[in-house]
Amino acid sequence: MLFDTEKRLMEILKEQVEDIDESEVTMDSKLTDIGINSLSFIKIAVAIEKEFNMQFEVENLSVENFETLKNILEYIEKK
Amino acid sequence: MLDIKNITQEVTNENYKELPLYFPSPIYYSLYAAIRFSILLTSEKTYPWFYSNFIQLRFDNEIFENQLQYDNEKKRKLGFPDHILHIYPIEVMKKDYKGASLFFDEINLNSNIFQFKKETLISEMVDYLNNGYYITTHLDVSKLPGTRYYNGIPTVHSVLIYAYDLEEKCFKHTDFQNNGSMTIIKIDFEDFINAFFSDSVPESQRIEKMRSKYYLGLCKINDENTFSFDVESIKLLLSDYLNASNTSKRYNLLLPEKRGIYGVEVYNAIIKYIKTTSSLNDMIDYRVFHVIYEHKKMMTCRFEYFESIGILDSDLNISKKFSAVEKKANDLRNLVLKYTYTKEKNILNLIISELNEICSQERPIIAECINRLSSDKIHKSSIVDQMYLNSSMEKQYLNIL
Repeated sequence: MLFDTEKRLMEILKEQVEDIDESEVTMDSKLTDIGINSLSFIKIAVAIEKEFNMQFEVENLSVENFETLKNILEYIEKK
Repeated sequence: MLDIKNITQEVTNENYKELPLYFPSPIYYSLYAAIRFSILLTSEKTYPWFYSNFIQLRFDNEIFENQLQYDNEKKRKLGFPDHILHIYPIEVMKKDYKGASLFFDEINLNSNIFQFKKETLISEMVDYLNNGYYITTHLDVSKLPGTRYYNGIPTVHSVLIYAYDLEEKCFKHTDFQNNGSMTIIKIDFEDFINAFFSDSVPESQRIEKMRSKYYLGLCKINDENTFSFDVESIKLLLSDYLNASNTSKRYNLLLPEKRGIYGVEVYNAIIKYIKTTSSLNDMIDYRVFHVIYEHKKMMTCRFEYFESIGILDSDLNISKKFSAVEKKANDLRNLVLKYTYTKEKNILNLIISELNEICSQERPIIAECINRLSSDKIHKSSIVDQMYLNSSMEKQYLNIL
């Protein structure tokens, strides 16, 4: 289940983040290190909401709340 | 709080000169203001002046009504025209108003009185930088590789040149990135000349923005002057904000009085704006919400400063309380971005509810600040201590010493 979520999250990243190098991205990658900024984070959050049929709370719509991809993964799993 | 760690070092060697910058500017929604703040805030002596001003918000309902007529297709191509929400009085940072002239020596060279030549312009600019002058000008940004406008619609845009490199044959200037944050970009001398003398921009646009076809502004910090830091004035301006009073009446020696909606009433104006634009299926201007965020961020900084110099009791935790409002304004800005991407109408209700919450959260904190601000306990070691205080305060101040 977690593996499936991880795979779907990676697909979203490939679609939403320009020039992302998939081979260098792990779940421990920091969002800032892989080129995710405040604007691209919102695009990713919108795509996650659609893909996983969930809603980010307003206070969690900020890139500062998620240091790594793993943090996003855990957030999706909790929902 | 403004942090001198954000000031870059001056660098001088044979082929290279870089003047210090406060980077990024704490207020950058307005490029002309960001440029001048980046220069001005390299001097700590300007901080009491900075914190004593830019307290108000002003919603320009006239521009808003004009923009309702503005074609949606044009907005998609050119972006939104003018800002409808401002931190007031940001206009004082325009070169025409010279509001920062207390700390600025500024010389404007324009083509009405000065002849600019392609052959000599670069070497003249190098001389100006060597003499410690920052250079502001307008360039046709569609001619500037490395910017988001490159090869786009020809348009002139403010830039700040603060460094040159003779080996790489380039200047360094400040600009916005695609995500709206500020960045530093190198510009080849050749590209600079093409952008400066570009014929692609209609002369009327150049005249409108620069008052002449070409111009260079030469700016240097003059920190021999002092600012009269006045706690009572700050209390008045904060009260204007809470009472939604037209603060432009207080600045009428410097600026023309401006109609508009001021202070906490801007939230109702923004809610009306959201409802109107939504009913017309129009786009919401994201910049309005970025301005709200910058205003809250600066208010937190202001309160931290007041606490640091002792005019506000830090045990009251006012800056800490206000940082929660700042966080909420950041959330709101993100929510508006989400709406921009999804166009889900139900998000508009959330946006309106967040605006109302920000308004109700900040009111009591600002009111408490006004009640508790006092010049009696000013720290002797603070920067204000070294400056002239206005005459009514000076007596009290000397008594403490």
